[in-house]
Amino acid sequence: MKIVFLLIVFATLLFSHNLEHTISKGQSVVVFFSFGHEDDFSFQSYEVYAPNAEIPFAVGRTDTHSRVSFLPNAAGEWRVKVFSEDGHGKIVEIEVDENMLVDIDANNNNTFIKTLIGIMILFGIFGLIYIKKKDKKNEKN
Amino acid sequence: MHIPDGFISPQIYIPAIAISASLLALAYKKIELDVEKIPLIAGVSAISFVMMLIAIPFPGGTTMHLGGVAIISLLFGPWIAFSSISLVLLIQALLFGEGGITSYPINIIAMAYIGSFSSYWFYRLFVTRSKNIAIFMAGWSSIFFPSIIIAVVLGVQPLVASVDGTPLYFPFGLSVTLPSVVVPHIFIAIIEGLVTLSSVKFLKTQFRSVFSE
Repeated sequence: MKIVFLLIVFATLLFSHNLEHTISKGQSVVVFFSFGHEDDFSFQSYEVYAPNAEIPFAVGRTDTHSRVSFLPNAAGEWRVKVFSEDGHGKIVEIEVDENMLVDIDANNNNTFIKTLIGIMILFGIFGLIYIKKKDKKNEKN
Repeated sequence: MHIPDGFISPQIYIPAIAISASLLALAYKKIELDVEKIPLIAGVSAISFVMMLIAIPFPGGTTMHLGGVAIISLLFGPWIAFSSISLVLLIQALLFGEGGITSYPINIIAMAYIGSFSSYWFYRLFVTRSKNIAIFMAGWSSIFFPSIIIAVVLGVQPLVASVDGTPLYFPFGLSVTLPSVVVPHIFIAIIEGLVTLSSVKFLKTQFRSVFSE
């Protein structure tokens, strides 16, 4: 009986070697990376940094759909850094509020609008140079 | 090919700021803009801006983009190409995060300066044999040589900025970056060469008043 009792006590010590797990659903932040084609940044390295942290909160690889997902545990500016061996990459700053929620609209970018703005800026700068040069040319004549 | 923010250590980007600023100052002195050419420079720069934003998928998972650097270099000269591509890269960095702010000096040294001047010299090297081959090689070199610079700059990061063997910036060494950056760009450079050849010939025939040969 003593031996059985000792065995039971000893067996309880073994629980510490058993990796437990729980499954839950959380409000995660999902960041999708793409060059414009679906799933073209899959299995690439990423690092997630909590606000004001220098050591990564999470590291890993993007999933098969080129996504990084993480569960924030603090409000503030989170940083997601992705990089591939060929030098492609990006650092995305994501503002997480007190409720651990993200303003999706504020964190998304409109490539089409930005492209148009970029072209306009280029033409604007060259337009100003053109006018300035034209004025100088007229002054000389 | 644009290096993003956070990949380059200050040991590299601080000297690069000095080099790129000197090059831009030199460009400002060297450039003599012909008023009649400015609208076309603006147009080709805008085309280059868009070309750089279109990602071309490559087998193996990587993507690349064309540059249009050689087109400007051959039509208007390497210093104008360097300046206009530097402006294009600045807008891309500020608007798209396509290439970082800290890595901007390296991006302009590699893509704008090396791209413009390698295409200019390659054109001069081959023009005695064939004009078409010279234009093609100019386009090819404008992608190939910058890719080597980018690969080297990325690959030396673990050597120049590591703590206890842990890289602080870009984590892959030269043995990884050289093949993964340069090899795909050998092929995209061929496309760039063909695009340069067709674009230069088209623009020179369509805008005869601008280009008096």
